[in-house]
Amino acid sequence: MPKRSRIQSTAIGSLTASSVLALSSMATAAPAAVSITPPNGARFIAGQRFDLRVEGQGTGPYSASLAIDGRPVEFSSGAQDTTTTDGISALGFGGFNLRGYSSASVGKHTLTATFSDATGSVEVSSQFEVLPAAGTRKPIRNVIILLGDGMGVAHRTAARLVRYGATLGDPNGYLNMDALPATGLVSTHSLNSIVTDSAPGMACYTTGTHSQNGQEGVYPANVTNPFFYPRVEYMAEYLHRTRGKSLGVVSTADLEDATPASTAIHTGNRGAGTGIMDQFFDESDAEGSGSYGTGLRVLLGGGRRWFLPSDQFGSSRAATSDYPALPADLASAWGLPEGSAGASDPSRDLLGDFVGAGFTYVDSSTALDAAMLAPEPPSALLGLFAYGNMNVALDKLAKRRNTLLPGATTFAVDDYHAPDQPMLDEMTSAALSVLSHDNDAGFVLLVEGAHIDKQSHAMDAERAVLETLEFDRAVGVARNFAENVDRSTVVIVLADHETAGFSIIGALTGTVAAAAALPPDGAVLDPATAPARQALVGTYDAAGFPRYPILADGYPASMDIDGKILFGFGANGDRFETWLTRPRPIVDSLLPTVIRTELSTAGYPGQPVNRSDADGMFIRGQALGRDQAVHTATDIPVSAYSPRAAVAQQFVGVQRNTDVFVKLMRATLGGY
Amino acid sequence: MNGLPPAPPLAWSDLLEPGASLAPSAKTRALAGQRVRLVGFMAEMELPIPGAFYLVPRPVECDEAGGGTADLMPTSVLVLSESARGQVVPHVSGALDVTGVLEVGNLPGPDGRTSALRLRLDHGSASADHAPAASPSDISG
Repeated sequence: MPKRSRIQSTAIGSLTASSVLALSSMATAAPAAVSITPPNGARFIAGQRFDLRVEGQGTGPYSASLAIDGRPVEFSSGAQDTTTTDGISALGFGGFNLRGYSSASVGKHTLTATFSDATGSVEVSSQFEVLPAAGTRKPIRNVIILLGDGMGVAHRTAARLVRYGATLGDPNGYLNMDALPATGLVSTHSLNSIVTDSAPGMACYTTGTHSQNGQEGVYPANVTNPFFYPRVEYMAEYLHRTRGKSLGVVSTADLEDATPASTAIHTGNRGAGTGIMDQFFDESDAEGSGSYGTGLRVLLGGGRRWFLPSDQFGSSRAATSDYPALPADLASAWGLPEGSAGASDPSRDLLGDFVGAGFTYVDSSTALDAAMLAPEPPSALLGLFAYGNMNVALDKLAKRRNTLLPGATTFAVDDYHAPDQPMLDEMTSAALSVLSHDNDAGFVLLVEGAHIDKQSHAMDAERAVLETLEFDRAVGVARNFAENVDRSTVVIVLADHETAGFSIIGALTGTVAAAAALPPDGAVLDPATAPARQALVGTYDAAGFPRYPILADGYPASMDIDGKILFGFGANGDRFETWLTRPRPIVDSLLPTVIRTELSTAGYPGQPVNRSDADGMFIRGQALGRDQAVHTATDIPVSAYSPRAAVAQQFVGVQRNTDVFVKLMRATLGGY
Repeated sequence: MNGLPPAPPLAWSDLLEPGASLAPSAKTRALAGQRVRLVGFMAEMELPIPGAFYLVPRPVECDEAGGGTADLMPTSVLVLSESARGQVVPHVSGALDVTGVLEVGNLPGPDGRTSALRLRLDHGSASADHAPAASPSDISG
């Protein structure tokens, strides 16, 4: 981003020895960290709203000016020649905003700004581009984004192998996502790093612009509250405002998590759970004005703890994760009515607000089924199936099969006080029924398989694969909708990033029982000594073709079969590897019995929680010392389907993550 | 071990009313303000609270940077140690037998997290390497 000091540019014509010295001291006495938002290279769909901001650090009073393509524009907030400026800038900063700007002028545009403090001035500039969106084809009515958080190519291959196996070189079957006809690759970098997290990882698909790690639907800024950051309009907001579309959000995570939040929430702090959940409702346009908000009609997942008043047992609501009233110019420019512009209210009954606005509330799989069996589906649906994250597929299946996992004495879902949780495909089916009912305008739906990432972080390959299989069943539901219910639909399947450098390295030689009976390897740290478990890895020919028995529910009977597939992690943390399904982090298997036995012996030293982990071979983490793998910068696959082939074909090839937004928007505006 | 009389054991299954709704059981409410004994596991947190740790019935890892505290169970008990005030309590793998005064009810902490159940440790009562025999119900509930 070119940046010139105005002082330097005017002093060039009169340099003397003394003036050089004076110029140097004058040049160093200038505001610092002067920036203009949006950053250089930002792209927007014609008519898409975004906030502009000029800020700098220094000694007040501050002033600034802004021009777009050489034409001066007025700020919507920021008093000139004051120390307070917009009243929301951080201490030592001055800030000036132009909220809710948009342009219909296709092409590149130049922003130039001058920021001054008591010591001098700095001029900055950047360029943004306005892209054409509307076309002459018939617009696509519905957009379904299925996001497997952390799901790379290897996760998909692993799920296919577990579900179908392979014989004589050919897969015996294909996943639903494999069968989508258009496949490409997507780069996953964020505004500030080659390695993204899930906040910008999703927001780039839903805003078309890069965000900074940890931030959702905003650009970074030095302001007093992360909800005051400069905003970028979401796909759902744009399409609700201009086309009357609705929004659905489905996730197996706590709904305050980054991926679901990055469809609708504007915040520089992905962890501000109270404010995030409040904004889901406050900016949903529950009254149906069509003039603001996302048109949220379906919200399914975990996170009941954010919906209970702060004094209610189990609530996580707190003022420290909430936000006060939004700046007046922000609220005005974004069309937020009074009552939707924020308040610090941890004692709020958010669940009551949703229900009062007409949402049907369900808290279990049984209740969800009952709601969907009604003569007409609900007009709006809120499903909160767990207090935090929903449980992983392995644990949900155990309860459904009424079969305790080996060594367990209780079901994990019961321990989490969420005994009856739906599977992701069931949630997706319900969401589509609600969103498509009596809705000619169409919708945007996000379906997230959240635990692929979480279990990959935990380097729990077995659970990560099961999560991928659960996610793939939801893909099948979406494909069926597009093919047989409403053909004016585009379905895309992708990820925000890859997690853990997941890889398929071979298969277990020998039996699971033999692997479990090996003596401990945990103390084998000398590189010259091969741990016993290292010899179990059957590579190349020795991997063969593992086959997992599949039950009638479509999932494997067990992930621990003789000759099971073995997985590695290229972005791993420290761990002990046993090649067996881990009782951690959710399933409690033999541990209570073992601990009880040990505790009965006086003076017995404490044992590691996961006894089998301690027996495993130690693998030093490449990225972190602790027991967590990290995200990678690897490209992720995208698969697309639409009955209108020209739409799906847009996703073939290598593309930027922000390109996905542009293509989806063009599809909904008649571009293909 | 610390000169205090033995405290009654509290099983995880006794903490809350059974089922999907969250409400402290009658037994829990009756024991509020009194010394109790719990046996569980220290949740492994990415961002531990100084001077405290979460005791949980099953081994749990939290990835707060990724997902906040969303993996903690509703029955998580925030164990507060006066002797460790201001210090990060190193993670201990293995069952912990803790005794202290039980507190029931939501309380926001300085880090913004709200706890519903707390146990203020007897000084020096947490033992990772020597715990008396536990009955089967103590851990698994």
